Amino acid sequence: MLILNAQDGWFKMAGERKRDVGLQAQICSEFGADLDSQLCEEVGKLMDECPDCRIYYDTMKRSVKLYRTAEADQRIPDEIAERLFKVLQLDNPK
Amino acid sequence: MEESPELIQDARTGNAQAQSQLVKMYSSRIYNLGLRMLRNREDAEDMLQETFITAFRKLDTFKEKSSFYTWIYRIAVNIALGKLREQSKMKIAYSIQEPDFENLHGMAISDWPVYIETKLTDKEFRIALDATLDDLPEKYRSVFVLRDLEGHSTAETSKMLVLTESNVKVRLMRARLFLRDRLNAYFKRAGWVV
Repeated sequence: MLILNAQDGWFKMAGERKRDVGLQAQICSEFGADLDSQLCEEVGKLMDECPDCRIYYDTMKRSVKLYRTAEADQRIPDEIAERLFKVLQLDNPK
Repeated sequence: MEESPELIQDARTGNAQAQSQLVKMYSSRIYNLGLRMLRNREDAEDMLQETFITAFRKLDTFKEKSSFYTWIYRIAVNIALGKLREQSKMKIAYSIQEPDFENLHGMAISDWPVYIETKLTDKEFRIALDATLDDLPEKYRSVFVLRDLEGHSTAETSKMLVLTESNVKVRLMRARLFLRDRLNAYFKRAGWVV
């Protein structure tokens, strides 16, 4: 089981190993850490001791990436831009 | 194109050309935020129009402590949240229940094959991704959109949503777990995951 010492920010393995699939996500979230941060990376290394936790974490990270790709920025459609300028009574500087 | 103090000052005095430039610079970004938060083009367009109307009406209150973009972005988030609150009132009338987050764990853990990301070109999968994000209750989705899709920090997100930082963190975790588990279920149904 992962033990978190919140005061000095260290993580260590202690006691019996127990599956806790949401733990890494929880730790990263509790610290407001991005999934790609050094902190999450450290937690990820510890996850190696727990294959299911690692799989869960990896797939969660991949889920976020899938959404980032799927929801990537798109240019505003021309007709929506036209209506916006019309509502604002402005010329569209093309 | 970058915003300059002169451009903002010109827009403030009602210079139509300067205002048009600001619209040109930021309309796509605001529209994308609307799509992510509100999940449909009509509402995103309404939000976009209301945002610029409000911003130009209140331009004399802009203090230049932050950039114009940061200022108008906050206006856009507030308008989107107002719309979501209206929608959630309507949803309550139809008894839509919040998913049971407590039962997300304890399922069989399956790894995902490497080709999953290539499936993004699959139209059906894109629809499923959309639907999953639509299913995420609004209070979690707003946090997920601002933190993971728009890239804001926990502190910025907590200010915009008027939540404590720990609340943002908890909601973000729940959103991520919810989406991961919904996607996993979809992959199983599609036969991509055992």
